[in-house]
Amino acid sequence: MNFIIDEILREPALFLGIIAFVGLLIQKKDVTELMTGTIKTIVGVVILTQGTGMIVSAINPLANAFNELYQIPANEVLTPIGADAFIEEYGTEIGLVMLFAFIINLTVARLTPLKNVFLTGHMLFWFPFVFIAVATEAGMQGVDVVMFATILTSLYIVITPALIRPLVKKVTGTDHFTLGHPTIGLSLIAAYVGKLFGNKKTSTEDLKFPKQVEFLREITITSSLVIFLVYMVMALILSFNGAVEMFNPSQSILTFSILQGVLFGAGLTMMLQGVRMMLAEIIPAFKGISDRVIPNAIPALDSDYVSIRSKCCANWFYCFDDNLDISVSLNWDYWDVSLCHIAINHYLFL
Amino acid sequence: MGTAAIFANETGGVRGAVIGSGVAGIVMIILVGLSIPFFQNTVSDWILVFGGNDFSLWGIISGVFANLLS
Repeated sequence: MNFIIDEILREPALFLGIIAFVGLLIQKKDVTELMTGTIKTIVGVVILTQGTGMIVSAINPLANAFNELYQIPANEVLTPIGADAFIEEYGTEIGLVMLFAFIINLTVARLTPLKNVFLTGHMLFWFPFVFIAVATEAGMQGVDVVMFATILTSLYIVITPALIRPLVKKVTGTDHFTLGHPTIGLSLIAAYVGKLFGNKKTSTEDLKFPKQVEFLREITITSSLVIFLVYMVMALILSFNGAVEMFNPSQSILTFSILQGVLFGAGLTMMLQGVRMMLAEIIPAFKGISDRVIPNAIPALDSDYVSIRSKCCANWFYCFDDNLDISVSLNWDYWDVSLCHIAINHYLFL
Repeated sequence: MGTAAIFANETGGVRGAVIGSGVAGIVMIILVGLSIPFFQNTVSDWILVFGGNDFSLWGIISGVFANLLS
């Protein structure tokens, strides 16, 4: 039981590999297709993860620089036991909730018109984590915690992908998958606000770049340049504070910035490659499950898939993807710049 | 915000994408702050980095529920 939870469900590569395998098995594919589909899915996810690792290491020095600049007082106001300790203490509960909620999701997909099945494996981990934290904060104990978190997780993984499904269909032009990702709420808000204040006639896809800067449409190039510039600016700010050597004392700041920039671009390119590879395998495989076991089921997948499959695919939004939000987050309660929110979600999520 | 921007582009073109993702960004910051009290003693460190999305939103909703229940 613990093996399944810790070693497989929390490993997106293996979890998705198993899904692909089962899907292909149900379709009675031959050994060649079975092996190809399964292994390419797993390898695709691993490429994706490695690309993500590169992105994170390209960004990490920035996060440290922010911390240094703002002298963020460690745990001055907050005294959490911390995510690591929490997972250690409530690991079993999280695993149980994951399993129960997923079974409920499958049952709902089988019996009701809500056909989405939540396949973003790592999110299946973090939602129970969040709800169990909330439950314990409210003073619940034992079975109550698991029940509470199971109900909330099930509600989330059934309802939100269904809510965003029409939009995903509009954006990607297919109804073969939907989004299963905590960015759904914000996406719905943005879509609604966009509808209120926007003007549909001009898509970002139609933005005409002057000939000389057309290379900016290439995501590898844009992202490398953006990160390079961010480093240069950051280095400038740091040098006012006499802390510029915190980046890398053995390299000139120019060389360092260029290298971090291209490392980022390389990581992003790799990540996109991995996503494409695994998508090409997992969607046909999932169809196997959907056709035989749950008629018309559709997978709810990670946000990358929407970015990549959208008609404005690989446009420059991508470098400001949720997975790489670089923004300053104000801690509302204390009105101080509590944490420079370099929310590299992929760091934990992929 | 990338995903949000893509959806907003679909519903409102360029202007929609800019305004829509801008508003979503502000909401994100507010959500982080509002949800912190529900994670004060457990995983607020994690929420500070990864919150501001549905983790925070549903954290707030479920937190209100949980406090009513217990």
